[in-house]
Amino acid sequence: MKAFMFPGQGSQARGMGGDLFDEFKSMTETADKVLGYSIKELCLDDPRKELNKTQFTQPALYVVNALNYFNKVEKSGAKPDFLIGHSLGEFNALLAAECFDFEAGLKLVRKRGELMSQTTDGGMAAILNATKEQVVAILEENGLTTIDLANYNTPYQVVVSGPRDEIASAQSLFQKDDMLYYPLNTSGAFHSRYMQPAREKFEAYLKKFKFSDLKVPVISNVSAKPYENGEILENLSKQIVSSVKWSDSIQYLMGLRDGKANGHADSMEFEEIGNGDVLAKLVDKIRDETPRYLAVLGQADEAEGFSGEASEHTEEVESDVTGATEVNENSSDAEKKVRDWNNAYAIGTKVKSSHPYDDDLETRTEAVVLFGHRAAVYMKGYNGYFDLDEITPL
Amino acid sequence: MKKPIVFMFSGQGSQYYHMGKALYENHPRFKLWMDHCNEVVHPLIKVSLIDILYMQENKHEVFDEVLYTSPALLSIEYSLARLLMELDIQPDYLLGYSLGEITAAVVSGAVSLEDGIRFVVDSAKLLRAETPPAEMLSIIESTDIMDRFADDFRGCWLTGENFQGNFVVSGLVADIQNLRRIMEMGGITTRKLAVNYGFHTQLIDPMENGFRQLACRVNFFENRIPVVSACQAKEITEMSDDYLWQVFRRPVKFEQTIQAMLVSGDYAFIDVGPSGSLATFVKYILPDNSDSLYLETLNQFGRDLLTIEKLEARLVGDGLGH
Repeated sequence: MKAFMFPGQGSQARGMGGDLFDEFKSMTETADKVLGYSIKELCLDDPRKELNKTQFTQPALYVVNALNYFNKVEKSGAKPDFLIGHSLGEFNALLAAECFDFEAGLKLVRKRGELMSQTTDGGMAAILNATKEQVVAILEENGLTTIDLANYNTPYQVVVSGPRDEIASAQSLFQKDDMLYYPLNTSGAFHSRYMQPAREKFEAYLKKFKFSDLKVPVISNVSAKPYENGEILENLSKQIVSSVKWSDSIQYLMGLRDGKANGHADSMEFEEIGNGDVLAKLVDKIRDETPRYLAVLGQADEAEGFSGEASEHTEEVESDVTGATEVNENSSDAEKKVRDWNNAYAIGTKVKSSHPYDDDLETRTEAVVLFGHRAAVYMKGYNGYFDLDEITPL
Repeated sequence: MKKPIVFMFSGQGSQYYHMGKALYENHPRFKLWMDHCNEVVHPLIKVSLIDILYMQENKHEVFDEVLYTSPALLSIEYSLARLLMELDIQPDYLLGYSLGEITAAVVSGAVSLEDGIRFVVDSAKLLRAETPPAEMLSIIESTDIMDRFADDFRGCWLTGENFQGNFVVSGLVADIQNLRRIMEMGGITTRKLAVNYGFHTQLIDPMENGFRQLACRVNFFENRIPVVSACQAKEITEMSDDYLWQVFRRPVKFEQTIQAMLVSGDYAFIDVGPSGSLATFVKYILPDNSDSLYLETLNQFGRDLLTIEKLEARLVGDGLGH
């Protein structure tokens, strides 16, 4: 299976788009007409130093993402099974799913960029080597109630967002132990409560548009699960004030299985469509960090919370989008397997794996539902999760 | 009145194998930042920077491979700066010398760490591919001798003015070797720098087009900390592609920069590079009665931790730390 990913703010750079503006002349002309300036000039030369200003960055990235996508489809005929975009990139995912056309999407993105650029005095910072649970705990312990979590980029990389002064004063809290604090260059506190005014105006604007049913499942930043038809408007509006659950979304996709996949390796192929390789790097990190993250959760005896979150998702999933239904079934199926296993077997149960190369094993945690729909248990000495389907208690 | 703190970042020539090793092995925060930088550098140079710097038995060899020295200097200086800032030693100004201007841009927030590292690695590749081998020579004398011995300096360009009695020239290998022989015969002390390219001279002009394309990929933001450029000898408020090229191409006016700063008062100048050379330059530039301080964080004598502790103590003693 293949997932196309579209990047968001932070991926812009002068020169992006290259020859594509000339190759896709009529789309470029449409963009110029909607925007009232030359998109090619902005992306290639940026003579007025606007490319890093949100109201320009967003349409620029949207157009470049779109041109890259159409170029990809035209040249290779490649068809994705899933679509996903980081923040602004979600509009490109929806465009690729034929939820709206290029021009409508550009109008939305232009409006979104304008509204988001109107908030000032906001700040954002990346916290590395800390889980979202740790970041939340630190903020709570220190009474920093004004700061929100904007992105869950990887299990150990979280972006915080809030008033600029508060973000700066939180710095000392996040340069202890292994944590690294890295301030980001943004004008506003994106994906936080401070975007509420922008959200309200954007929602009013969204109401002017019609959204078609999705042709390919799109994973939503807000929920980390597939979009449902009928919730497009609400989701796009909510996205501005909600955390981008990128890590969870990628884990969700990694957890999906087709007939051919075995239990150990994730079968999803991720391809980044757009400028740069920010998202591809995040996927690599998520793949690296997930086992450690889950092991920590398991050890902390929070496995319950983890599967609980997953079941909450399950109840909400009721979709006619291809893929999502299948996931839904997988998910409740996994819930049951996990319940049955935990009722029957204690931690420390000796098991045998169906893989001939594995020695006898011993479980180290209770069984949990991974990525929303894989029933698995952590194995002592192996430092990894095993699918319940692939092990037999001895 | 509290003296403004200046973080100074040195350029090519100040690097050596095992720089910051004691700190890396003993200070977990420094190690974290270095490892973070290495995560960005490693895929670009296809080898671990940490291995190159610390693991090999190369302690006494000359570290002059520009593909490695460039990201190594940026990583060491960035990590050192972050370490000092975490110890609550906050800079009021950032001053870069040559490649150190890139570090200043990154620490200031004007350029992201990823962009900065990619830029110095790519420009190192370009230097290797498109410019001739050259050498740099530090001469312990006044620049007057360049006029007095004009013939001997033929084919050599003045590339850095460090203090009254010390300047740097660059040129093709044969020209610099010739100059060095003549200087030593005349009893003038010289030191060959660990740099194999003709930075700050027309020798690097063949790379200009490629360089400007690389500069194009760098995203510039507003800096959060004021930046003073040793290329322009003044504070700069906006960076651009052209600024990056000037940093590589124009001579370094270090003395003039420090003198210009001193007009407005005294400072605590901290050398946030591996060798302490900029602190030494400042020492010789300061007038006898100056209240300015010059301090180093690392030096080649490997007592990094002790130096950091001394630095902290000195700043606290002066009411500048914590």
